[in-house]
Amino acid sequence: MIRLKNVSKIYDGDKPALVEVNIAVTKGEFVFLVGPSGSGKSTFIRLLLREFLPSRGDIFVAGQDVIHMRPWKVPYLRRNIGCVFQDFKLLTNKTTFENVAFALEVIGRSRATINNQVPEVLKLVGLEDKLDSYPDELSGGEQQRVSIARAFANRPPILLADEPTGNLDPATSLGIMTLLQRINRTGTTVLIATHDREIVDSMRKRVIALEAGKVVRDQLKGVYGYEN
Amino acid sequence: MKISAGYFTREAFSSFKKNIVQSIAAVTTVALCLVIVGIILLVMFVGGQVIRKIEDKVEIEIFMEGLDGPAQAATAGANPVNRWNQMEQLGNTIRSWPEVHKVDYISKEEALRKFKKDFSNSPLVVQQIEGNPLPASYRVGLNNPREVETIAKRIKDLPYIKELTLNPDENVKFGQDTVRKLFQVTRWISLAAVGFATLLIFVSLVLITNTIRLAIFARRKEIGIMRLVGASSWFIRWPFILEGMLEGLSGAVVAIFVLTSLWRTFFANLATGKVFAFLSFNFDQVTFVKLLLLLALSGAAIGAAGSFIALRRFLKI
Repeated sequence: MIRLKNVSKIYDGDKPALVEVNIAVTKGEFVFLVGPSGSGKSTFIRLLLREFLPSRGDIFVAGQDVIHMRPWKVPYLRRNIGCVFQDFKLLTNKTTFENVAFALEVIGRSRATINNQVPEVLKLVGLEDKLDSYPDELSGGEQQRVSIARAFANRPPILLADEPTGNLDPATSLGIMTLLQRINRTGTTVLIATHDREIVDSMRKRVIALEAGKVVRDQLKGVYGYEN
Repeated sequence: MKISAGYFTREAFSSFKKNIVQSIAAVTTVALCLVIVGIILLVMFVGGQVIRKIEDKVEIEIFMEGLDGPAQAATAGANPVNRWNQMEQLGNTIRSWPEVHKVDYISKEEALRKFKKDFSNSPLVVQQIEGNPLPASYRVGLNNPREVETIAKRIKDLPYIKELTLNPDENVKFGQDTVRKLFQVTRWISLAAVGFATLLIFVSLVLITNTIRLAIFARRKEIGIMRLVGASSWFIRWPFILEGMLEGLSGAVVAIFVLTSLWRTFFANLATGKVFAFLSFNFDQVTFVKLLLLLALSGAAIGAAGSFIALRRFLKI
C-alpha cells in the first residue's frame, strides 16, 4: 500500500531530513512512526501526500508512482489518503456536518451521497449528536474526531495522522487511538506519526523509528523505545 | 458537474460581497481603463474614417497643353484634331485600368470658372487674369489611394503623354510628399493608440490580480483543506475565476454606461456633421454596439486572466 525505496530528502542547503529510507507497509496494517522532533516524521508524511518530491528514491502509494505522477493527477492520489493533523484544520465558520460535507463536496460527490455518508461517518466517530455544533463549541477530542470523520468520509484506503494526539490529554488521546484502530479494522491502512510514548507502548503495533532522517528500527509489536 | 456549477457561482458571489471594498476597487479600475480604451477605439475609428476621407481626396492630375474641345482644337496649332484624338485616347486608356475608379476631364473653361469661384473672395487676383492661362486637365481618382505613385508612374509612360503635357514629370501631379507623410502619420497614430490601450489593459490586469490575491489569502485555510482532501485544481480555481470575471464584467458595464453617455453627447454630434461637416463620416449604431460588446468581453477576459495569475502560486502542487 505504501512503499519507499532509497528515499532521501534534503531541503535546500539544509542537512538531510530523510536518508535512504526503505519502508513497505501492506494493506490493512497499523503503523506507528516514532522519533524525536526533527527526525523526519512530518517530511515522511508530506512525501506520501506528494506535497513535494524527494531528492532521491521512489515512492509508491495506493498503487501509484508518486514520483512520476503528472501534477494534475495529484488531487486524485490524495483522494486515496485521509489525513489528520495535530491542529485539526477545521473550518471555524462551518458546523461539524458542514466540515465533513465540505470534503466530499469539493471532490464532486453528489448531494445525496453527502447527506447519506456524512451522518454515517459522524456516527462512527461518536458525534452523531453534534452535527450542528461549530468547532469552537467542541472539546479538543471532539474536534479531532470531526477531523478524523472528514479524513475518513470518502473511505480512503489509507489514513495518515501527523501527531493526532499532540494537543490532547492522555485519556482523550486513548479514545482517539481506539477510534483509529476501529477504522483500521475496516481494512484501512493507518500510519500514525507520534511521539506519544504511552500510547505506542500500550498498543503494541508495528513501530518504525526515525532518528535524524534514518530508519533505526522497524519492529512488529514494538514499543516507543526512547528515553526522551 | 451540475451541483458544482451552482457551488462555483455561489462561492464567487459570496466572495465578491465579502471583500466588497476590494471588489469595488477592482471594478472601478477596470471601468476606468476600459473607458479610456473605449475612447481610444472610438477616436481610432472616427480618425480612421477621417483619414479614409482624406485619402480618397488623393488623386492624380494631368495638366495638358490645353485644347478645349474639338471646335477650339480646329483653330489651334498644327494638326489640332489629331491632338484632340490623342487626348481622348489617353483618357480612355486610363479609364480602362482596374485600379482607376474615375477620370474626369476639366476643360480650360471649367478650370477658369473654378478658379474664379475659389478666389471669389479676392477680386484683385481674378481681375489680373488675362484671357485663360489655365490648362485643361484630367483628374484621376483611384480605388486604393496607396497605389497613387505606381499609377502616376504608369501614366507618365503612356504614348502621347509627352506631346500632350510637354513635361510629364512636372505636369502629372499627385502631391507625393503630402501623400507619403499622410500614410506615415496614420500608421504612427494607430500604433501609439494600440500601445496605449495595451498598457491600460495590462494595468487593469495587475489590479484585478491583486484583488483576487487578497480574496485568496482570506480563504487560504479553506484552499489548503481542499487541496488536502483532493479537490482538483480547476475545482478550486473556478470560484475565483468567476469572481474575477464578475469584477471585470461589472467594470465593463460601468465603462459601457460612461461611453454611451459620451457617445450621445460628443461623438454623435460629430457624426451628424456639425463639427466636421465636410467629412460627413457615417458611424453607425452597429459598429458602436460591436465596440461595447468587445469591451464587455475584454472586461470578463481581464478578470478571468487576473484570477488565473493570482491563483498560480497557491495551487502549485
